[in-house]
Amino acid sequence: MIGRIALVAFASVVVLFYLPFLALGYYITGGGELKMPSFSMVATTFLLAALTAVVSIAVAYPAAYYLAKRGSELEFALLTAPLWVGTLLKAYSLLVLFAIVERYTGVVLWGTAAGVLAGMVYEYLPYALLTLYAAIEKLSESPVNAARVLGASRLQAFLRVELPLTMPGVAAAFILVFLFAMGEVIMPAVLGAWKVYTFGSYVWDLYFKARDIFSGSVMSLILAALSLLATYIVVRTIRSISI
Amino acid sequence: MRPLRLYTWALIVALYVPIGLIVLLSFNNSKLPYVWGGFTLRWYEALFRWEQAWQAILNSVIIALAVSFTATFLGIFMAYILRKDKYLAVSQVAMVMPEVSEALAFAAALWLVKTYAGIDLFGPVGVFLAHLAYTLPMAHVLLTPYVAYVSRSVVEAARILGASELKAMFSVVMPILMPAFVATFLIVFANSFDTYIKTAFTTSPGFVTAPILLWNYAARGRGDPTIYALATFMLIPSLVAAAIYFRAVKRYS
Repeated sequence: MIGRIALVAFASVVVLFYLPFLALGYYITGGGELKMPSFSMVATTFLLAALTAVVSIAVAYPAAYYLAKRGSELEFALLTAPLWVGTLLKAYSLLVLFAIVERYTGVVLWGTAAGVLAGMVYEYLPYALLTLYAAIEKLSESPVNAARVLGASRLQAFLRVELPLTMPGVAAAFILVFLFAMGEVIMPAVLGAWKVYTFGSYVWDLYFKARDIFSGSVMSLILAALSLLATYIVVRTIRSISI
Repeated sequence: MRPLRLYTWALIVALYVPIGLIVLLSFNNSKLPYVWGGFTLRWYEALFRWEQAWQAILNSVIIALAVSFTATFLGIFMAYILRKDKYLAVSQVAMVMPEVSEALAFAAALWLVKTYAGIDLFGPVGVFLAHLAYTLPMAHVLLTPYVAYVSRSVVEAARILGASELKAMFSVVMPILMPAFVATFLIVFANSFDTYIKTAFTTSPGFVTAPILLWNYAARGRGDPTIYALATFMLIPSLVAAAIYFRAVKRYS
């Protein structure tokens, strides 16, 4: 009986989540004129996503290192709690912050790539942090101790022993954040004021403005395939860490 | 470690400044975000009188309640029975799928249903199903680690004493998993309450939820103190969820 309930639930995951992708296939076979995204838009998306990943990792790494070594539960909870706040709320609160910053410093962030970058880093920082934390926590102390005994300074031991050992975690965090950032819609729309145009916004506009389901389906399938590939790589890297 | 600790706390402060600002500004007696005009509750009064906002919040709460209850309840069965990696992988893949692709696929499926079966699901039903589609895998993945705390002997003892499978599930497994159930319920609730993209793709113009209302202002870059009050209201489920989540999960460590 309980096995049957579980199977029904599992079947609804497949029907509700995976079956709709077949509907995309249906619209693709229906044919139409494929509206390719412009090169500059794809380039902007890639660059923004890569930069978001690099900046989030750079900002999150020291905190993840501290958390894994000495962090308290409170610090961990405070750093990961923003995960539960919705993207739109974060975007809106940054919008207000940008208005205040502009007023006092004259630095314009709204409608610029820098503003969108700040928003995406704000959103994806907890993800980078959690992935890095998982990688750093798994490190054993002995390689560092060995390096220290052999005369390495603390900094040398970190740079030449610990950092290379956490590189798989860094790679996993990079791919994860890069992937999420590639499909991002809300931050570019709210903080970029539709001036910073990305792949996610393009898919959005194809459906809501151009009403072109055919091109939209092709684009979302490409995005979904990319994400599957990236997930596969992440899972592979994470598994290699534990071995 | 000392500088690292300072750095970590600086980061924590930075993470909460934008959210804190919205809350602060919702009590600001001035229409300009950079002028502090004293404490006031008038934006909340305006929000209380704004019927559309109430309707939107109510819609969001109803959808989120229905979604989180269904997803978590079914999620426990999935987590308890389908523990193997291959089942889990199906749910994990669903969790990392880009939101736009997923939402567009769902909208396309709803269009097909509308065209061929003549059933128009856009609106509350579509939103509910779209939310369920991504929260079910989420509940499955989130609950699975905690199933290990239900030891086999307890369940077997209940079965030997005459409990049916279902009875053992409800009176033995579920109570042990209660804190995890509550934690997952809250995460799913906060998530469903806040989701904008999937709602936008599957709703009808007549069914407005709180994030959709917020978007109508945010996408145009409008700052209005009543919207700050609305945003503050929308923060409540997330903050409550985060606070209770860490307490509930702690019981297992």
